Amino acid sequence: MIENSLKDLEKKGSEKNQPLLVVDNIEASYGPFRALFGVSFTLNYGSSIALLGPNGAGKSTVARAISGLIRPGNGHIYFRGDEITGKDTWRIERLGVAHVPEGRGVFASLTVQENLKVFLSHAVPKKLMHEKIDEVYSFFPRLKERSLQRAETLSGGEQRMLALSRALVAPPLLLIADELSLGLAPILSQEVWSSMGEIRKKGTSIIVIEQNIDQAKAFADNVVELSRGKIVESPSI
Amino acid sequence: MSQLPIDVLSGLPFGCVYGLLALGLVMGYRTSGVLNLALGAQGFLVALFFNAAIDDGWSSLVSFIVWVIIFGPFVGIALDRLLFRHVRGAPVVVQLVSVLGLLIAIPSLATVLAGSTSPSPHALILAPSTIYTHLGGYAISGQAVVTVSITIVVLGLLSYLMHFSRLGLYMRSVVESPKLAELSGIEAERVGALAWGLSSLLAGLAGVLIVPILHQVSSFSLTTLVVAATAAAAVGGLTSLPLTMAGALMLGITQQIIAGFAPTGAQWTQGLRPSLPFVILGFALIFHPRLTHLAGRSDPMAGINPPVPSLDVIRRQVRKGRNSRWVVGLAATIVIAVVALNVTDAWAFYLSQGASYACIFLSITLLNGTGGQISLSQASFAGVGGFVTAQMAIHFALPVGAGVFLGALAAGAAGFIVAIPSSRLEGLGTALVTLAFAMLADSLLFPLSWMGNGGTGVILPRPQFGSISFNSSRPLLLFVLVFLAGLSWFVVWIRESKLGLEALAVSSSRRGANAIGLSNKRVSISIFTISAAIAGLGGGIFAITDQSISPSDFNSQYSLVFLVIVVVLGSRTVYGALVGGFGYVIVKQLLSTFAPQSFGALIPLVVGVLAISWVLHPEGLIERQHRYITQLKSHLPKKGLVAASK
Amino acid sequence: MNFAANSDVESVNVLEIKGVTKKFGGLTSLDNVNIVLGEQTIHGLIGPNGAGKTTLFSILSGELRPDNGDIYFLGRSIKGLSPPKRARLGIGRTFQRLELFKGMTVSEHVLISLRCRDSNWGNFSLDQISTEPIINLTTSSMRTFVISKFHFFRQFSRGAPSPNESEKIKSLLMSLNLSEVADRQVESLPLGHGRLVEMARALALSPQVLLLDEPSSGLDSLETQVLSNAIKAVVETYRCSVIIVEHDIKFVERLASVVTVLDAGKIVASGETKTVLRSEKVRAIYSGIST
Repeated sequence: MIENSLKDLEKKGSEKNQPLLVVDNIEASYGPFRALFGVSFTLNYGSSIALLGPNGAGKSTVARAISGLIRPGNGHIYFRGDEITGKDTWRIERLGVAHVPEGRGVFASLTVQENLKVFLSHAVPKKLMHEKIDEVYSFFPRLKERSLQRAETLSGGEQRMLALSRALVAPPLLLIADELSLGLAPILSQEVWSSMGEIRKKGTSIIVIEQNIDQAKAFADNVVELSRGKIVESPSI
Repeated sequence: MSQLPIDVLSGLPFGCVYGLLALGLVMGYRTSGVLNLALGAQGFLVALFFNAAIDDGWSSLVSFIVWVIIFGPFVGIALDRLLFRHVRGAPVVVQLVSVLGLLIAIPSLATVLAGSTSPSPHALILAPSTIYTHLGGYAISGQAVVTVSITIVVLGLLSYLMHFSRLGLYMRSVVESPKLAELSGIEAERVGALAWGLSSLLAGLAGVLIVPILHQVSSFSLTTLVVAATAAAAVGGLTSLPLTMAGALMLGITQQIIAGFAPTGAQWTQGLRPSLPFVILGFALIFHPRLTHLAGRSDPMAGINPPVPSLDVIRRQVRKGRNSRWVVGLAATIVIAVVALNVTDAWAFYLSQGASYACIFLSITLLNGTGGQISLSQASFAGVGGFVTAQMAIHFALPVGAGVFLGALAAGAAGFIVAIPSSRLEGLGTALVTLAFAMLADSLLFPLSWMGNGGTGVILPRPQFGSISFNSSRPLLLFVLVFLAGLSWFVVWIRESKLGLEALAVSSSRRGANAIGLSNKRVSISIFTISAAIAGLGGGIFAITDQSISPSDFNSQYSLVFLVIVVVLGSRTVYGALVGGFGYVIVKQLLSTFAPQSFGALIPLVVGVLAISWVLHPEGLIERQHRYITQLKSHLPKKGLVAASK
Repeated sequence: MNFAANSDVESVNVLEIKGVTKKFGGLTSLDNVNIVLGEQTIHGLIGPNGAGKTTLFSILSGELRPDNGDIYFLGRSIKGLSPPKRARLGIGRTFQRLELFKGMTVSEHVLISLRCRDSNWGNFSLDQISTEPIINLTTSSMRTFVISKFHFFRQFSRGAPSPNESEKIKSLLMSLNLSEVADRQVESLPLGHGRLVEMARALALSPQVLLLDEPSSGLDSLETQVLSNAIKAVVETYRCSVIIVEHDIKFVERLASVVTVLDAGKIVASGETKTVLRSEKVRAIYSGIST
């Protein structure tokens, strides 16, 4: 929640080069379908990592395990030194983890403004809500124009902007962005990546999930390549 | 001409009550995917306590605050904690049985606690029957004013809550996608519990408001109202609150208009008014595009959830060898002979009745255990079978045996007609279509003179085969038991036939079945039709045993109880049905002979609690025992090695 | 597409996709797609995430209807046919997420499929219920129901396989190396075996076309190897054509003789696998995309 925002962290003094997130040998499966066979990596404060790999390699599953959407069958996940394995999603969010999921990622039946209110509900104090929403609108004027429209009427690119806006105006400690540029026209994709750059400048650690190796390598400090639920030891890039 | 506005006005209070119930249904359904048919029972509970408190001298305002405003939501939140939360995403049978368990248990618990079976009508604010004013010739009673104005206030508060408050926003976000809401730090479960509380509050309000309108209210009449309200909810696609409310008002008003315009006197027109909601429900389910696939909700994160674990780890037992089958057959013969020759005449009668219930239960074994389908109208099919048997015997002087056969055919035909629309639907949709049929049978079909003889029932003679008369109960029992054994064998045989294999395929993967050219519709219609015919046989046997049959023997309430009994005892073996059928009458008789009168009220409570406990062990009690014994056997030293090597 | 020229050379086109277009909301998922599938060929369908492969697959299997365009199977339009009808015509398929019958053994999967192939229920059109209003049911479907009423009793025949059926099951399972697990219930099998069981089940229909939906997903490299060998053997033994929708290009490259590349709902290239995969356009799409 608020005490876990970045500003709070700065007050305590920099913790750079300390591990923020440790993923230790996690395994996961969907019913009989095993998606992860022991994945481990570490993410430091302020750095970024790209999870690469083909469709079905288990990238999204890693993201879901971190944000608590699924319970890993085995292994541990530590966030700021505390174990968060198997905790409720909302608790993990309040610790400062923002996960923008693959696909739509917005509430289709709610208006743009209502979506923002929900996204920011536990990330900013109540009295700052309007201020922060205005901040989003100044970033993305197109969202302001459509603030009273239902989110399902937005284009794919606008929906991604909307989903990203929480991380933009209330930077979390960790942002997990799952295939944000997927299916977007190049110009829009560029816009999404530049917003991600903005977020990183504010000190947020980022995990990006990407199919496009070039984009990912250009953005992230480190690369973890997955294949069939395992980390590829010697990346083929 | 001046009749129409009056009908509209007098339909409004009904529409309002439907609306409150329908809104409660939709709120619960949307937050957890459970269609809470027990909402009527909750409303009954609240109404009972509310009115009992006034009987005890409380002021109506205090009673309203304590029971409706505080206790009502508390019931909903408690049920969410204890039950609804745990059946989210569970197979529909499990959800349905848990809800039916509540529906059966709550009223029984309530009557024991409150000490009365029917709430006495009390005024909320204005005296119910006082006429306050006239509007265009329509006398506006206190109750109408209270009902309509409370509904308006509730609607206002509800739309404010949903659209202008933070909580409402969270609720709407959780409704669309609990996972996505949790990703924003919203505690979806707590918000869901609040939605259940609100839903229960609405149910309580509806209960309190309906009592003075109907004067005499049982929990079942409230359940009937809930099913009617489901029609309104279905008009709103089980999602839209405004459409649901509009549908409810239209329903109440249309019912009044029908009552006003339909010719009086004819038997069928009397049934027209109460059956309208169920007709609407049936049509909505069949033609509303969103309802034909109730399973697929619009949650963008739906794919994340692991696949719903299958109800049964071991679907089919390993086929028994020929030897053990002979053993079972021999044992059955001995049991039948011994029982039939040694029981008293009175018990022979009860056991024959038990056998007829066992027949009906076998139809559920076939439908649910082999076909993986749900039906909430098996009692109605039994009724069709029983009435046709009786009518044939009386009007055409047919031999009763032939009458039973024709009754089964008629029930099968009714089953076929219901199966066609229900085969297009899945899980909950099928359950609702069959429930609508059961309600229609209650209100429209059974009162017909050529069916249930205008609701008074039919009396028929016992059969006579040549010189053998079945007027004494013991020969009848012998005959019925042999028949039941044959039927059990038939049900097992179907399970292992080609059709049984296909039914297993369709119920375990519809897409997979389609991929090999197997039409799920053909298979499910076949199974449903056969099952309805078997239920009809059971109804026929019931009729000749009892020598009479009336609509109250097989009203829709029984369908719910029957399903719960069979599913809880285990629908995948015939033993569940047999134990259920005989157990049902034996327990009833033992209790009525030995236990005090008040004890009888607790039976539904026990059934309900069993149902809810079953939700934890969905393979059924009988099969659980069976498995437990096999487990014990496998631990015997001789087989120890084999077990260990696995 | 220049591939149309090839269709004149082919004597029989098993499957022909003509101008198929599908939109979801405002998004065009497939835009005027044309594909021709020749006899006994393995046709790969590849493309990056979101290219429309899955949509096309669902349209082929009958689970989705195209907004525009038509599909011809052996020269006959199958546009309005439901999935079970397509299966009975001879279009078999597998699933990315297994759709096996829990509680049945491997050989029972083949048995039930064999029987569907042999049954005469193909004439019975209860499937039309979903497309036609209920009213029509009473006229057309009831008539066919009455005509086929004698078949009604056939479904009560014994569940156990006849000697003839046993023989067929045995040889089919042998050809896919599944003999050892023939009597195991499917839920106890690993994913790789599950994929093979789905193939065996589809092959029991003796299909002309086999549609494989992401067959290699979730498999390890050994299982992938086994599967691709099995697919090759299947085409030779059962003389059917195969369409493989896959994200794994290497897997497709090993197997397919013809390949079609989709991107954003449009065909980018189509033709002989080696030429297509080497072409500039395709490499541009896949540049930077890990496979």
